[in-house]
Order: sequence, then structure tokens, then C-alpha cells
Amino acid sequence: MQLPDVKCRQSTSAMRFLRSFLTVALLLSSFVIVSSQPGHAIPAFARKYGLPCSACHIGWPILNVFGQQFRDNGYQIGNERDSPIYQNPSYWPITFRVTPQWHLESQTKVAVDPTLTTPGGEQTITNHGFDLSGLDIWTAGTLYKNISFSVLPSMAEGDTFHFENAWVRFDNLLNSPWLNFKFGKFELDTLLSEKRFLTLSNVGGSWYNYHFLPQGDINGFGGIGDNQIGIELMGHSKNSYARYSIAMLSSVDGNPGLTSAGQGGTARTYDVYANLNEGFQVRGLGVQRVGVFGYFGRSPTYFLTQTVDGVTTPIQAKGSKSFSRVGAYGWWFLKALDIETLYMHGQDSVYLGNGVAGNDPGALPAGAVGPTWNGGFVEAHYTVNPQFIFTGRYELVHMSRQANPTLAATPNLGNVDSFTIGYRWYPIMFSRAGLAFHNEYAQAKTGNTSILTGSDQTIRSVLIGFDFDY
Amino acid sequence: MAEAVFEGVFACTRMLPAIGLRRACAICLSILFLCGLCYSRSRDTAGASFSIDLDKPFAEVLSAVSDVAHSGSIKGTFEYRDEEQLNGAQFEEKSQLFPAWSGPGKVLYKVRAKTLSPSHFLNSNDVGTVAVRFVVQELSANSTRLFIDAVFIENARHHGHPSDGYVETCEFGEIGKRLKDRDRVQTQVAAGEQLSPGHESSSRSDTSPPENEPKVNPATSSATAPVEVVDSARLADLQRVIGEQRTLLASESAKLDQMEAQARQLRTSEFVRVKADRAELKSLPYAHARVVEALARGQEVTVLSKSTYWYQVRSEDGKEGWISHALLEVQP
Repeated sequence: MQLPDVKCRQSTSAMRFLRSFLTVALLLSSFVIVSSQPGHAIPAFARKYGLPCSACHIGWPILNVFGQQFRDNGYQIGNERDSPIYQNPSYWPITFRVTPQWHLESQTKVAVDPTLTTPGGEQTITNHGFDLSGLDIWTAGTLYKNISFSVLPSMAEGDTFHFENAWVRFDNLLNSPWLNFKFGKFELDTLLSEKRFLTLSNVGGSWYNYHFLPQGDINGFGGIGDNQIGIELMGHSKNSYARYSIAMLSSVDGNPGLTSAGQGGTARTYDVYANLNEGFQVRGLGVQRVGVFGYFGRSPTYFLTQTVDGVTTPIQAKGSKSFSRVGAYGWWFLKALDIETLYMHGQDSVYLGNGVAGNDPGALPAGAVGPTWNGGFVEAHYTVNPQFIFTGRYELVHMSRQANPTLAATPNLGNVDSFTIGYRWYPIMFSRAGLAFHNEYAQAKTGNTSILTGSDQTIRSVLIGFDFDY
Repeated sequence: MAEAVFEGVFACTRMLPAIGLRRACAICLSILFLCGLCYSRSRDTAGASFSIDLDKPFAEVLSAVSDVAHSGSIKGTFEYRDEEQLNGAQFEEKSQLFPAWSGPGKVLYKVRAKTLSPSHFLNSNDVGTVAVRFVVQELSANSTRLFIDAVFIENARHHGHPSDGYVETCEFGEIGKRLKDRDRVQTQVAAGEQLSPGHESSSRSDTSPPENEPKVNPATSSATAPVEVVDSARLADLQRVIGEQRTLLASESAKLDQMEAQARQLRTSEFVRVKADRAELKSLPYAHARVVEALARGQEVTVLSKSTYWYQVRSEDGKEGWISHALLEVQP
């Protein structure tokens, strides 16, 4: 007798939910549609030049060919419009960017402690709620003709700010685009820029290949996705189809104060990064780009320390050991679809891979070797129009050689397989402000990383947010 | 309505465990994706090729089109916010940016290279070349068909961007102006002929131009002397009228150039912003004129021209109209 009532309740409840859901969806859609405007411009440079955002961006923040050329040319167009007399007196070269969001984070096989009512063990942990991203305050431009700069203080809630970048660049030395010097903390010259891609979630918001380290590795290098401190010599053809760069960087992973990953007073060595890429026309498809890069560096394995009042402080890095990252990439354009592809090979010293101090070779386990791995990704962007871009990515990083032979039983340890899908809708994109309605789902499986059982873990992110700058 | 919204939110919250959080997220994302996709695509409509049949002889239309193709500027599109046309365009007889024209008629091109994301081209992006193609076809002795197409092609050749139709319309406006100018000159010439004392006495004045008049040697026939006097007077009269009209045209053109230069200077030097909470951008400088859009406090506008109480301005999104000067302030 109760069954029909239950069904009836469920049906009524479902109908109410459906009606309410449609009401909410309709309102939200109406809001977005009513507030939509044709895409024009984004702040800072768009304000400065009175140009639409589409002059430099396929879709904010991905640069198009001219955007890359403008950036390579020291934020200068190369005509009379660079002159200050053309600038609006009220122009102020600052852009703020923040992303209020709702996001969900989930991870399987997380080791949890027992509670009064539940035993300890592995279980899936899911958290979700409304949140904020960090705040970027970006200012960039020209100090003088052919002297450009960028300063980007960044911070999250409760953090002290840090410099994401801060550099000055001397452009077009000897009147040649092939000679440009940059000095400071900057993004490595990667044509496939992690700072300019379209995903923001915790799982999908970075390229694993750009930050990968094997399990147990003590390399202080955070990957080519991290901004680094040093000098860069860079050059490009007039249309920026052909580009090269070579940089000498302190082995501190971009941390100021001569520190490496929180270790005080440790900078002793220098790394080298080089990048070479070329664009070429393919009939019917336009310019395609390919390139190669390599990062060759050293990272300390132990430190001289000083103990004062019982507090031990590292004061100098020692036992630096080598590592390298090399790779090749392509950026392929098929009308409204563009596809980024990357292959990367990484290798760390046996000392770094096994977490052994360089002055203690006896501590290396028998048969220990330097870990090596291979990875890559395919990332596609489908630009329906400059206001609407769909993105999807598949990425993997697989160990080809574990550092420790005892790990032979878990050859997949540290492997990453991930995919991300999402889209960005830019209802507002003026010279005063830009707004992107961002939706993303990302998932990654990490090999043998659960603490208790050594099995694979899966992490997931859902992010719905408004990414805006002004 | 508000009650329905609250009820909806609470109902969603209650139903989440039943349908699953992930499924709910997937549904939301899908709905929003489809909304965005549909709405975005609704804007993606290219303007059709501009064509018009003119009751003018082919040669006359071709001459006007040729003038416009050689004018050095492309109307109806711009790169920078303070401009209203593309300067530096060049006439070309061939262009790779359009498919080869296989139909009848005379084809002319006007091309502007190194153009940055010009306005009024659909999904305009990157740097490239703007090309305008004019096709002039003779339909009959007094009827001519004109096609105008404009396109922006990125140098990287990733995309081609057809015009939204505004460029073609403005280019035709220029052609129309030239045709009207010619009509006016011809009318004035005709009027001058009617006023000419020799006009009424010459029965052949409309059938052949003065320079084709048969020359008569006064030494060989005294009987033809009066005809010669009349024709000479008429010729001199016509030449005087033409001379006057040319002088007038040159003077007016110089004034126009000067005024355009002044207007450009004003546009590049003066930016103002809205100081009232709300300012209505009007289609005409009258309080009761149609409202083009409402502007908020602080919104920047570019001054195009001024009258005593109204400023003609262009808003950030490219819309032009008039705003009462009392609602604006010069930027500090």
C-alpha cells in the first residue's frame, strides 16, 4: 500500500526538481545571454592601443601569431602607435585577474585515520564548495622604446605575495629582432605556454610533463612550467615564425633570495635552457609550428648547515647532481581546430632519483640508476568563435626506468594518465574588462601511489567559475 | 519568481543525493554548454555579397568604381578605436584573396596589408590583409550591375573572415557619392548651356561635343561666319562653366580634406567619459531621439564631433551616437 505513495512522492519530487532545475537553468542562461556582448578587447594592452583583444588572442589568454610577434617584439607593435602621444592619458598598464568559482575535488584510496565510528583505511575523499583563486596583479609594457618590462605579483588568500615574474628586457639590440636580452624572473620561452592555456582546475590546471618528478626524487627543480630567475637571449624573425632562445638560470627553481625550494642560501650552480621553433605555411591550413627544447641543470643533494640555538639552517648547497628535460612539440592548425602536441623525455641523476647525498655514494641501493621517463600530451582547442572555445586534453607521463631496482614490482609507480575537457565562454571582452565563464572537468590516475595498498589513485576536479580580469 | 528560484535551489539541494553530484554537474555543464554554443553561433552569420543594379552607363559606373578603388582607403572598417577607416589601401588588378572571377565584367581590387583585427569582419582575429573586390557588369546601354565583396584573410592563413556587410555598404556609399557628384556636374553643365546665349541658337548642341564641331574656315565662306561666332561663344561659355565647376570642386574637396583632418585630430586627442550614473547614447542630437544604448558612469567614449550642447561619440563597443555634453567629462 505504501509503494504507490512512495512512487507518487518520488514522481512529484522529481517533477518539482525538474521544474525548479529548469527555472534555475533558464535564469542562469538568460543572465548570461542578456549580459553578452560582442568580443572586442581585454585590458592593459588593448586599452593602451585601442585594439580589440582579437588582435593578439585566439581566445584569451592564448596568443595568435600577431600576439606572439607583439610579445617577442617587447610589447611593441612597431609603428607610430607605440609612441606615448597616442596613449590615452588615463591609461594605466595594470590588469587584475581572479576567478571566483565552485569546484569539486575528489581522490580515491586516500589513507584516513580511524574515527569513533569508522575504521581507518583507504577511502575516496570528496570536497566541494565555493572558492576563490589566487589574485594576479599584472603590469607590463615599455619603459622606453625597446625596453620592456613585466611585473606580476601573485597571491592567494592568506598567503604573502610572491613574484610570478619580474623582468626587464632590452629589445631589438643592434636594430635586429634576433637580439633581445631579458633579465629577471620570467617564464621559460615555451611556445606551448602553461601560463596561457585554457584549464584552471586543480587536476587539469597544469601540464604534468612540465612539473613531473619521480616518486622519491629530491630534485629541487619544479619543471619547465615554473618561472625561473636568470638571463635570456632570445631572437625571432620579423613575423616570429622562426624563434630561438637560450637562458642561463640560477638553480633555485625561480625562488628569489638565492634559495632553492625553501633551502636558505643554496644557490651555487646554473642551469641552461634552450628552445628553438619554426613556423611554416601549409597550403590550405596556414601556419603550423614545430619546435624542440632542452633544459640541463644541476640540483643539490645535501647542504652545509649551521646550528644556532638548536636551530639548524642550510647555508650552502653541495653535491649538485645533473638532470635534464628534452622534448619536441608541434602546434597544428586545422581551421577552427588547433592541436598542441608535446613529447618530453626526462632524466635525473641516480643520487637525485634515490634521494642520496652526493657525498655518500655508499648509501645508494645496489643496482640503483638514474630514473628516466617519457611523456606527452595532445591538447585541442576548437574555436567556435572568439567568444566560445572548447578544449580537451589527454596527457600521460610514464616511467621508463625506476631509480631503485626494488621498485621493479611497481613499474608504474608515479605514472600519470590524465584527461581534461572544458569550455570557456567570453560573454564580455572589452578594453575595460574581460569575463570568461569557465567550465572544466579533469581526471588523472597516478600509478601505485596509494600509501596503504600501493594501488593506483584517481583524482578528479570539476570547476565552474567566472575568470575575469580588468 | 523569486519564490520559484529559492524553491528550485532547495529542491536541487534535496535531490542531489538522489541523482548524484557528478551527474548533476554533468547535466549543468551540458545545459550551459549548449546554451553558450547556440548563442555564440547565432552571431556567426556572414554578410551576403553586396550587389546593385544601377541605371547608369557602364563607363560611368566603372569610372566611379575605379576612383574608389584608387582612393587609398577602405571605408566601414578600422583597426584602432580612434579611427573610422583603413588608410594605406592600394589598388590592385589581381588578388589571391578571392577565388578567380570567371564571370563577365570588369574586376578591380583594393587591398590593405598588415591590418590588425579590423572591425566589421566576422570573428576578426590576428594580423592579415583586407581586400575589397568590385565587379562591374554591363547589363544594357543604360544599366550596370555592381558587386562588392570584402574579406579579411589572416597572414597565418588560419582563417578567412568575410565582412558583415558594413564595409561593402560604406564602399558603395563612396561610389554613390561620386556618381552623384558627376550627375551634379552634368546638371550644372547642362544648366550652364541653357543659360548660354549661344545655346538657343544652336540646334546641334546636344548631339555632339564642342570639340567635335566642324571647324569652318572664315576665309573660305563668309556665309558661315555667324555660325562660327555662335559656336565659338558657346564653346567659350562651356569652358568657362567647366572651369568654374572644377575650381568649385577643388575648393570643396580641399575644405573636406581639411575638415576630415581636423576631425581626425579631434578624435585622436579627445577622450571623455560618462560622469552621470546613466547616460543615453542617442541616435540624433535631440532629447527625444531613439536611444542607441545606455552608458554607465565612467565608461569611456571617443568624441567624433561637437555641437553646442551635444557630442557625437563612439562608445567602447563601437556604437556611435550623441550624448548631451552635460553628462560627459574630460578624462583627467
